[in-house]
Amino acid sequence: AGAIGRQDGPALAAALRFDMGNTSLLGQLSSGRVGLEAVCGGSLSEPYDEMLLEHFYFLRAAQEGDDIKAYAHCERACACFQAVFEKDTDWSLPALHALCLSLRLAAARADRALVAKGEKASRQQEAARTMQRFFQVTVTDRSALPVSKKWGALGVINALFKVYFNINNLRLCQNLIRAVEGPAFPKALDGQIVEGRRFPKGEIVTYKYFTGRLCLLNSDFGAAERNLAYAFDHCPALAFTNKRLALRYLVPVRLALGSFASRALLVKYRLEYFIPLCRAVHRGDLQAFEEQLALNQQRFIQHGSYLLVERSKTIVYRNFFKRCTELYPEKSCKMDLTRIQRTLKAVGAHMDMDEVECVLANLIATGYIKGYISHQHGKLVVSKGAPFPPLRELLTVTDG
Amino acid sequence: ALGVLAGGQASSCDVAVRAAGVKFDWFIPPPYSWSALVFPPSRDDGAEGRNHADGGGWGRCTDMCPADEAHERLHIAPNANMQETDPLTGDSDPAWLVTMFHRNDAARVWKPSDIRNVNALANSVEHLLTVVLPRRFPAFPGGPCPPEAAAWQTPGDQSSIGWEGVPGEPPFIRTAGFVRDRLRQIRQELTMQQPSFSLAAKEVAVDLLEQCTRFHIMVEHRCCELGLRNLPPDDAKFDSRMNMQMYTQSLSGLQQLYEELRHQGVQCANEAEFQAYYLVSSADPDVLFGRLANLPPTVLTAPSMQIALRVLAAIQGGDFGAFFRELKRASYLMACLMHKHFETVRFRAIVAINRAFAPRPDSRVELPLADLERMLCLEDADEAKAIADFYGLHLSPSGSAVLLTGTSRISAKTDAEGGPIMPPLVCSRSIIEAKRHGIPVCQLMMSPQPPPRLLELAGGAPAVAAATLPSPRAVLRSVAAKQAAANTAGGVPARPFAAIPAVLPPALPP
Repeated sequence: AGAIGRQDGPALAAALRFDMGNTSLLGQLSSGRVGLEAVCGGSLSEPYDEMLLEHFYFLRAAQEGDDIKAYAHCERACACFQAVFEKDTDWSLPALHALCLSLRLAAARADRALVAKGEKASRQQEAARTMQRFFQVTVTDRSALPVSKKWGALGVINALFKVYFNINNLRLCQNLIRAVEGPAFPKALDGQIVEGRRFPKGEIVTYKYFTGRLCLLNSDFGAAERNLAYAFDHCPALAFTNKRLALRYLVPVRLALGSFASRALLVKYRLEYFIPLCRAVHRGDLQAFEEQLALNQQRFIQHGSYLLVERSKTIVYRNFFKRCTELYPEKSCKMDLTRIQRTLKAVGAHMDMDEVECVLANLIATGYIKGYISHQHGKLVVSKGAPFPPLRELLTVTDG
Repeated sequence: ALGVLAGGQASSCDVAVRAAGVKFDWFIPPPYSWSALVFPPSRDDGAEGRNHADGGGWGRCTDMCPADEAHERLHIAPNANMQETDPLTGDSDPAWLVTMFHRNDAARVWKPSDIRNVNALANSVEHLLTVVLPRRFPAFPGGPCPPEAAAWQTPGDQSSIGWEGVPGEPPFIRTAGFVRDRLRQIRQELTMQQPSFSLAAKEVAVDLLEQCTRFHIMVEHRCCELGLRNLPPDDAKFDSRMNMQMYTQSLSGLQQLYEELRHQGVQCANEAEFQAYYLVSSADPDVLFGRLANLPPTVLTAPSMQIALRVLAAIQGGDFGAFFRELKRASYLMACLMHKHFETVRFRAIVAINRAFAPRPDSRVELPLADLERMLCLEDADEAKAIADFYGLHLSPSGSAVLLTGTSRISAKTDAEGGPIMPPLVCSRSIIEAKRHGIPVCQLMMSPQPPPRLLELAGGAPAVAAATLPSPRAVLRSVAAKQAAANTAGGVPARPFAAIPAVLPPALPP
């Protein structure tokens, strides 16, 4: 009560979060001895009294394990908060973020309970809609930038991203990004200070992680690499799980761009399953690459990175052909395509001549090989200089 | 024209007698049939019922067309399709009518007697796919023949648009239009009654929806040259957008059923096949991968899914060699779906070939058209020339090769305002359609293995007679059976009106 009276945002947020773990409070709530309505109505003004009441109900239901009812109370608490938030200044932003967090987690638990009962799991969708309303309020705030509610928008956006990724419905993510990149949003996405304020680093890192993953799904590997790299680099070393998550997507993106993670790094972050894969790509080992892809297929599909990892196949071919050229005498720049076909067959890749020409044509057209195919004579002719430009010079992967 | 229904039954007896001497060459009995099973009616009371989920639906109509509609379409406002005529008399016959599609708007009230139960729906789908699709006019030499069928007898200049050259077979687009309309009504009736279906009835619904989906996939490729991209708007016969809409509707209905049944402990045998179709045909890969993650591992590891993943990877990565390799190995239906990606894949292929087969941008390198045809799975030299022309590549003086320009800057032709021109589609007869030669269409459309539930339920049950009106399939089957019997030196004449049980393996223990 004191927190609200003083308009002390962080304190209110802390109070809300504190309640979640306060066992004695929970014990009192479940025993029902405390007259909740009286307590709330007496000490707080509208609508905070209702909000706190719903919050207590939410805690009690969560304690009892009734996740579906708990979510309903949490949502109503958010609705109460929404009513006053619009007219308020930005002091209650921390409380907003605390509410978003509990709403998101409650929705996830409620959906799990619904699925177990065999019903349709729609609570996360509804939570997303509630949070969209919060987002609208933050982003359309017209107060001056130093005291604007816009500084709270990124936190809500991140919560929305988490929900959308959890329910695998990414359609509405684009709107959020558009708002961030729009003119009215503070340009502080690299941690800069704008008019005396900045976004917390944690929010920026989370935002970059999700936008990186979204870029991946649009096959924009350059932007994905930048975003995920930022997320990984700026994530504090102690946040091991988060760093590992960023790496989970950064490693395959960089692999597709031709750069390999060191064994030490992969071992440190317990991503050992990438080690044989990276080795296969580095050595141009087609068979091993296919084996590793098949072995980890389930895992990659779960992570949503299967198609991404598959893209590294281009690099595998490039490295394979590079080793092929090393088998040839020094001066010749002309390689017989039938010999290449036989070499491929020797490593287990049975391809007819059209397929061999296709792979080579793609590598030449995207710049991985400098040269051309003489279709009439059945030869690959490579440039005398550097027929295989170093991979780091070819940082962008074209879509073919 | 036949009179009241009872009279119709009497004359059908004559028909069966006359049918004894008739040969329907084009009819091949389906690999399995639901007609031997009978589901009890649901306790539900119409559409607003309490969804007891305990039977074969709240519909009470047991024929392919409810009596009211039959009466209206035969006597009040005659409106029967050529496919709804009796092959022996040439007249429209109530036993051959199938419910038309009626839009389900707010004003419509559906009586239980107007809605077919799951048995009748299964019979209708079987009729449409095993009898209507291959049907020829005349149905037997010397039989009654509608006047327009004269244009479909001998290949010649007067063949109608879309006629595929099989004597007596209507242009596929015509039959497909009829079947599409009737299947749409069937899907609507399935959706309306779905909450009242028992678990077994839902499995029947899965099989029926699977057949509908396969049908739409086949139509999409077979009729691709008859749409707006090839013909002027007034002449266009095929609406690809509507067909894909029907396809998407059946596929998403199927996916919902798969999930529902999975929650109740039943894993459908063909789910991998259809999730694979979904993978290859869906537009946004991001939502896709979310869905994939929720599938059980048995589905994900199935061969059809692996093929689909390879195809998707080939499309995304621009690997046209892998794409066309998979095309040659793919099943007919998968190939039909891959056809929709041909333009994107071929564009990237041409960019790569044009750049990589020439040493410098100004060198004049020739690529023989025959090689281009082979590498890009084009139909013939004409298609190769058309595609070269579309991308601004000139032909060599001899006309048998394409001149490569050595750059990757290739762009498609645009019209006067710079908008994209959509070139005409080419049906891949030599590669894709060739995959279905020699296979009866009912085998293409129906499940590769008889549904386990059918085998389980029919294992011990006796063959049940069909509906009171002689069902068209029964007439045809009886004739075919007589054929087979006669061919094996004096067989037993089959009962003309009983539903002959589907060919089943030795009875399983109940």
